[in-house]
Amino acid sequence: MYSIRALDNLIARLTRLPGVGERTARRLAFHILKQPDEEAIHLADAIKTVKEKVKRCSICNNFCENDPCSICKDERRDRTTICVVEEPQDVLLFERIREYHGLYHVLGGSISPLKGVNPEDLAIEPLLNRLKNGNIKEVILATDPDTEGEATAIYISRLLHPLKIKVTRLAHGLPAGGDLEFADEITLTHALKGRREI
Amino acid sequence: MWLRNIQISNFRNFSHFELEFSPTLNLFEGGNAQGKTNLLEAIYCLGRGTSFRTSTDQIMIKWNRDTLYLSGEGEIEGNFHKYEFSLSRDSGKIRRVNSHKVSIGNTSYWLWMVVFSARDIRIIQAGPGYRRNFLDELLFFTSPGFSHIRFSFNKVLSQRNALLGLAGEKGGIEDKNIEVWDSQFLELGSKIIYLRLMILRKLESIFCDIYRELTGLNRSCQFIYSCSFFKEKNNNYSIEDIKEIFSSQLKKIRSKELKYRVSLIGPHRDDFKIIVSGIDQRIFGSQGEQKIASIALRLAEVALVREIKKEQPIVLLDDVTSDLDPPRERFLLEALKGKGQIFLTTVDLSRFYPEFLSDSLIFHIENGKVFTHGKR
Repeated sequence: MYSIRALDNLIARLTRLPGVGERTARRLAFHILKQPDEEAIHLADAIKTVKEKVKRCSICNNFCENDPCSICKDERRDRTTICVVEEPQDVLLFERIREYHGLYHVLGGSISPLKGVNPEDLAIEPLLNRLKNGNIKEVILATDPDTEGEATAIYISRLLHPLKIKVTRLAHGLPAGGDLEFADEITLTHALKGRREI
Repeated sequence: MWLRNIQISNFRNFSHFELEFSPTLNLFEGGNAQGKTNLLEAIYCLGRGTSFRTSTDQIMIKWNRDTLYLSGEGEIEGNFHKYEFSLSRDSGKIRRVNSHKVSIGNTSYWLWMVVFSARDIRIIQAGPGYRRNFLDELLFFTSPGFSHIRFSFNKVLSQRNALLGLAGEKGGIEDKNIEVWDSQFLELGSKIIYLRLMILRKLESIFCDIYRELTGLNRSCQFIYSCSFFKEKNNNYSIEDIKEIFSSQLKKIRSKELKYRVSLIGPHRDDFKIIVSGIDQRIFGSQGEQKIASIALRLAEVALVREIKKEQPIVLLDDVTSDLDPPRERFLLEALKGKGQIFLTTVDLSRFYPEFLSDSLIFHIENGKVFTHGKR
């Protein structure tokens, strides 16, 4: 059968990426091949550098170039609040809205016995240590609102209960600027339960 | 609701064709193994996004082809919507309503269809799973939000079982790890049981009337929910009652669950009994009695959907009358005729009484090809 081994190898590597199927991988591989040499080398370098330079922050477990990360080091931030998220990309989402000025803690996933992820596999112990040392007043549990995220939030909230720290969970509800008509039944039920006085 | 037309490509033994339907009675006539049931399946699949025959979607794609495509116009509450369904071998299935992607689980755009088939007897005589599915299917449509509850419960259940599966292995599992899943397990599980109790009570009274008319006998009928953790006679629990009992029983059974490494109580272990004149139809009903009970159950489903949704469901009859005696066949057909759209398959048109066939649209199916015979 006709094949170019180096190219096949690249395609096989690319298909391991999330959201990339065989077809997309082939297109990307041929695109890389047709590019000028330096373009492809820059890409390879970028991948290499990101693996070398980006580390986990020893405090919040987020990705960073210098440990501790810029958020953990920033004295202007509210150092009495920690927002607990599943993944580093969740931090980006919160930072983009510029409404939250506290600190973060990245768990690195959610509890899922099906995938073999137990509480010990998440950065929960480091979170507890942070709480014991610091003067944290509030922990915001911002794990995903699915069954695994909910279970993770319940697990952490039970551990934090004896520490007498305020523990909050992100509200579930209606999207802003949306029409009530387009809300699904579950969201609407949550929104009704979490209603507030105005 | 009704389906005005359908366009079929590469579905089972069909290549490509389009059909216009009647809002009343549509008859698919043809010999065995010509594609009558396939046509019903295509109609069901377009309205619901799944098959009523198989859980392996891929086998619906025509042999040697890559993609099947269905489209058609369906009416809900006076408005026509364009339905599309496509399924290919390498990517999954896509459902579109009015050109917008809609998830399969989104029940608000389902064309509700009730399928009567010879397999229905399994609901009466086979294992509890068939009866649970029957109730849950009904709840998907009549109770908004149920599909999400059921879906989340299944996820929690499999996570919980995966965790229990680790019991006995190195170090075992800690109580606090199970408790994390218990709160969602109890919350969702109690809701499912409560909704099932409610729908079962509604279904019971309708079933009783239909069963009496169908048999001509004045028999008492009863549906009893057999829950895995409370006594059968207590069918009037509130959702809080259920949650409380569920919670205390779950604590009691903890050590047993750790031993068997599986979730032993909950809605996934429940069942319901169909009692006629004090006799459990599943165990003591004759083949004929079970057949009648299964037809009465489907008719009750049609009546219940009609009552709750104020809509006529689309009825699919898959060669269901062939083993009924003439009076019962007539009762079934008369109960359905003139109330909403019907699709009926048969090997023999002459078996139907002439008034039934009046105002019907007849299609002849032969070796994967469909010929419209026009109105009677």
